[in-house]
Amino acid sequence: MNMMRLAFAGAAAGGCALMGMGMARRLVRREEAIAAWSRLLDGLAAQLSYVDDPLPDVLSRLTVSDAPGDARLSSVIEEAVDNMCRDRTLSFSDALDTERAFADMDASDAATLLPLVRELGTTARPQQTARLDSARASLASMAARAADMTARQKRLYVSLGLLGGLALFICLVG
Amino acid sequence: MRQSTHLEKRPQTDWRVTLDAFLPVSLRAMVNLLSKADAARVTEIRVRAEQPAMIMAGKERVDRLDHIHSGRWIPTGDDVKQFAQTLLGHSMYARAEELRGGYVTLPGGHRAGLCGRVVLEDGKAHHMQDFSSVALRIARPVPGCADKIMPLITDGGRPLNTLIFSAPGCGKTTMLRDIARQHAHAGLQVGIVDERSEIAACRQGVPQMDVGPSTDVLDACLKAEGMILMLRVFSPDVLITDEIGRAMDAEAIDEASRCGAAVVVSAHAGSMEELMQRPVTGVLLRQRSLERYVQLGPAGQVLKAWNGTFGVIYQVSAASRVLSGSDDPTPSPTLMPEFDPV
Repeated sequence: MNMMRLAFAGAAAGGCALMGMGMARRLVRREEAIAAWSRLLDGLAAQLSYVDDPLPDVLSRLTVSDAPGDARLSSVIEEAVDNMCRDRTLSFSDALDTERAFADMDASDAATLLPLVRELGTTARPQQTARLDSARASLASMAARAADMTARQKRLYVSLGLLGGLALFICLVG
Repeated sequence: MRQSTHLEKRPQTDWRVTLDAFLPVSLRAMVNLLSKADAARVTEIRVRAEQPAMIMAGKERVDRLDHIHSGRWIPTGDDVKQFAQTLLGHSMYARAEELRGGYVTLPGGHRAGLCGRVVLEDGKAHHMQDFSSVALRIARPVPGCADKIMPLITDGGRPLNTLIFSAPGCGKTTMLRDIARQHAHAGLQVGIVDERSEIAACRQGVPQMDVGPSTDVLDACLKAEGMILMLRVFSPDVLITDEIGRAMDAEAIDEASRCGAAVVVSAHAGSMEELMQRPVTGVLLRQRSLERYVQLGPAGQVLKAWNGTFGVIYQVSAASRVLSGSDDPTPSPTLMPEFDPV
């Protein structure tokens, strides 16, 4: 019986610790996602400043770094490009799976990027550049806030998870 | 000069197949309702916000709206905007330069003219937005249409400096395209300076029209600059360009003929007298830089041809024009000095 109690308490404590680490991980993934979008838009802005190629060509040419967020975002973008090539009537925003594209971001991050996603490819170069610049500026401040939040809250969530787990263990065993 | 043969012609794909991917579902349904004969006659599709879409063969509507009411498509403003964006490849920034000319080229050489709100910058049209109507013009190349003109503009296979003129809409561009194709098939190096992307209908640099296997196209380049550039870089045997009209065009033609390239150009004019009165073509006529002048009639029919000294070398007989609507292919045996601009 004692062994069972111990095992249950250990599982509950482990779950609590994992929850804390999961919350910390979400902060890190949000930071990575913002950084990935930021790099994508930097690349896009650089390409659009001198090439006249259609959007799917430009998007498929963007290089992917080894950073963890980039692989996830680039797979979503690749899928959108495939959709655009398969069905020419689809715009970028129609072709993009926004749920997956913004999966690691919070609602306010997605709201900042959505106007750009809707407008990408639909306006002349000056408007595209202005919209991209504005999104990049927003992303820069979002990235700074996310980094700050991660630095402050990551340890807090991990510690709270571990301490909560420990407290739970003691309560259940004691 | 070798005549064009069926084997040399690039196979033509039905415009419905080429444009299918670009059409909204409702318009696609309308297009699919067309009979094969009607589809072969279609010249353009007109789509306007809040108005029924129209499929035209010249001035006649062929969309059968009277018979099949379910096929009627009245697009909303958003539908037209979305259609326009599809035609622009959802990459308007990339087609802005083309759009400034009023249309964009689609696969197969078909062209889409767009209307909307023009945004000005420094008093000039910079770009367009809020599209409200689309005119989809179906390109229909006529391979072999220059068969009758080729003997008139060559001398034992040597291409001659030629000016083709007619009133607008008589098929000068179609004729130039087939002349390029036939010269290229005859083994000559052909250069086309296609300022308005009408002769070769380039899309992303690739000619959508059959202009022959040894033809280089300088797309969307000013004619005079393009001709000099083409001469310098590609040394063509024949240099072709459309609708000359600026003083520098005449200089470039002069330069080209001095470099040994035969020049085949076109100009708007209803008659030789009108051609003479125009500043640029008048200069060319007075300088006698050209060796052939060819006047086209409706549907690209050759009405009359002159040699470099303005002797008539060919004239369609009134009888053949009335009876068959086509010209007599036999050039007049005698030269008839008829027009001297000097």
